[in-house]
Amino acid sequence: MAAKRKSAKSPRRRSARTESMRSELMTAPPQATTGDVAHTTGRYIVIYKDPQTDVSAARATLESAAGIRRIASSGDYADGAIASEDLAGGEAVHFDKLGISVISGEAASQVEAAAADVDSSILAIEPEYIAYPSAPPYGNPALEYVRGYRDAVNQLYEQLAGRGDALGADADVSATLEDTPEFTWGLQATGARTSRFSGQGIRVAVLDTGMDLDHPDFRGRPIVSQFFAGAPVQDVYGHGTHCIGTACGPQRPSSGVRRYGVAYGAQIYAGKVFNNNTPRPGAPTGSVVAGIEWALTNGCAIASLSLGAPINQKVQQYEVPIQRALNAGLLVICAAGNNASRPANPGFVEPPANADAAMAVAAIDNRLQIALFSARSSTVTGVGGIVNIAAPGVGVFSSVPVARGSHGFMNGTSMATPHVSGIAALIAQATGLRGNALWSRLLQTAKPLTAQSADVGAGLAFAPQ
Amino acid sequence: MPRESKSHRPRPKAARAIAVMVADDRLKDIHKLAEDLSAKGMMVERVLPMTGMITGIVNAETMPQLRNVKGVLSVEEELTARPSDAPPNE
Repeated sequence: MAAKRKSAKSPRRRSARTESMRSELMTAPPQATTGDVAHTTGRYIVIYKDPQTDVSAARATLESAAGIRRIASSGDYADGAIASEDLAGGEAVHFDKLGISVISGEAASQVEAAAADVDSSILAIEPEYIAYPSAPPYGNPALEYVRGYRDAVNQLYEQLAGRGDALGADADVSATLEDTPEFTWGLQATGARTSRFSGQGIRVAVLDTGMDLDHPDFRGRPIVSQFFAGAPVQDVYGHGTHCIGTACGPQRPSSGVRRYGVAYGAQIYAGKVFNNNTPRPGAPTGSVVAGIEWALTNGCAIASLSLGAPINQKVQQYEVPIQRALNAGLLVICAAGNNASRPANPGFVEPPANADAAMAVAAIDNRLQIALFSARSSTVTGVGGIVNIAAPGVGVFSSVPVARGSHGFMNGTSMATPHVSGIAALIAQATGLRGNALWSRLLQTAKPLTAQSADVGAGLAFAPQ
Repeated sequence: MPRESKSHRPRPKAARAIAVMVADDRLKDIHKLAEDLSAKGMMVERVLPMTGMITGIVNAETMPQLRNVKGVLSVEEELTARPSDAPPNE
């Protein structure tokens, strides 16, 4: 707690901050007992309003408050280091450089009483706590052993307990979300439902299988589109329309279905980076990177890539372009991959998600558990192969081509990714942040989950309210 | 029919789709670099100046030679990505 500077205001007036600190002190300080989490030494720390308070000023204050006369100064000791034995027996010690004193417990109540006076030079008095080291005392090799043991036990537990109650065993039933007539469960879970932001002014590129440009929910919504792999933008496979719907679908779909889109005010850039091959289309890296350049040229803040190649390796063809894109202010958000088959096979984060500068997104279900197909952080591709964040990816309702029924449910880290992209657009609008700073904000504001971070990174992406 | 001896059978030339990454200091003349690659036998299809990528087709034997071209960071076979949608049943 920093001591306040002398203010030019009348000394009789206290700031709101001082008031709140004083009211905190009215509660009895915790005693050092076994079973308490916080332990105290029995001594108290006195903080002065003036951080320049020297030992003679401290002596004057403490003597008049509690009759304390013997005060040692840290300046009396070589290197300013004071032995704790000197603090015993009713003396006080003053730390010149910090402008604080340490006094015995016997004097504390008198000093506290004196501090209640508005004219007192004392800002606050609080118990001296004991801090404990955060690392085990036996050094790193043992920590590694314990970590390995923990992971082995977790894995064994998962196998024995099966799907029912393993990870997030303490997640209660109320954590299960359902679609309502008004909102998908995903918009509820991510706080997009209640966000006052729409992504207005933010350009979001979705590099995918294109868009059904005739979809009724998007009639009148300007969509900028381009193809890169030789096939026209019109979405025949259905995936791109679903992802664009999740990222940027309308606030009130004209078809009357529940809202399914996060950033309903964002500007949509639909990049068709896939060909129209059947049964599954393909996106050559050159097409994807051409899409990334197009997004950069058009001032997009976010590129959403619900695609990947199932190899557990870094590739320069994604590492380098995505790093350059991030440097230029484009946040590239990618699906972690669906190559897991949990619990037996946790999978691995695929390229492009495993690029250092790409954000890798995992999929959770409506109980906020990791999806069985959602890839875990890779053990071989370093920082890039780590799952950064998670979002809804099971039973996700969104738009699909009219020829396929106009709306439908899909599963995949493909579905989680546009949730994050839409939330990124909301944050970008709310804060003006871009690139690395936008990445940081997304992670800082994610909601913690009971699932492990190797699976969900920082947790559930959450919209600014 | 007697089999041809392996030493007499001509090796088929394997065409590869590749992605070449360009170093920072050659981004400004990436098109010149693309010409250099072409001169070494690469059929250049795409030059992306902002991200520094050149894609195209080359014979497998030529790939190592391209790595020696000044300004080339990497030469890799070009990946094909798929959509990350999962099967309907969990």
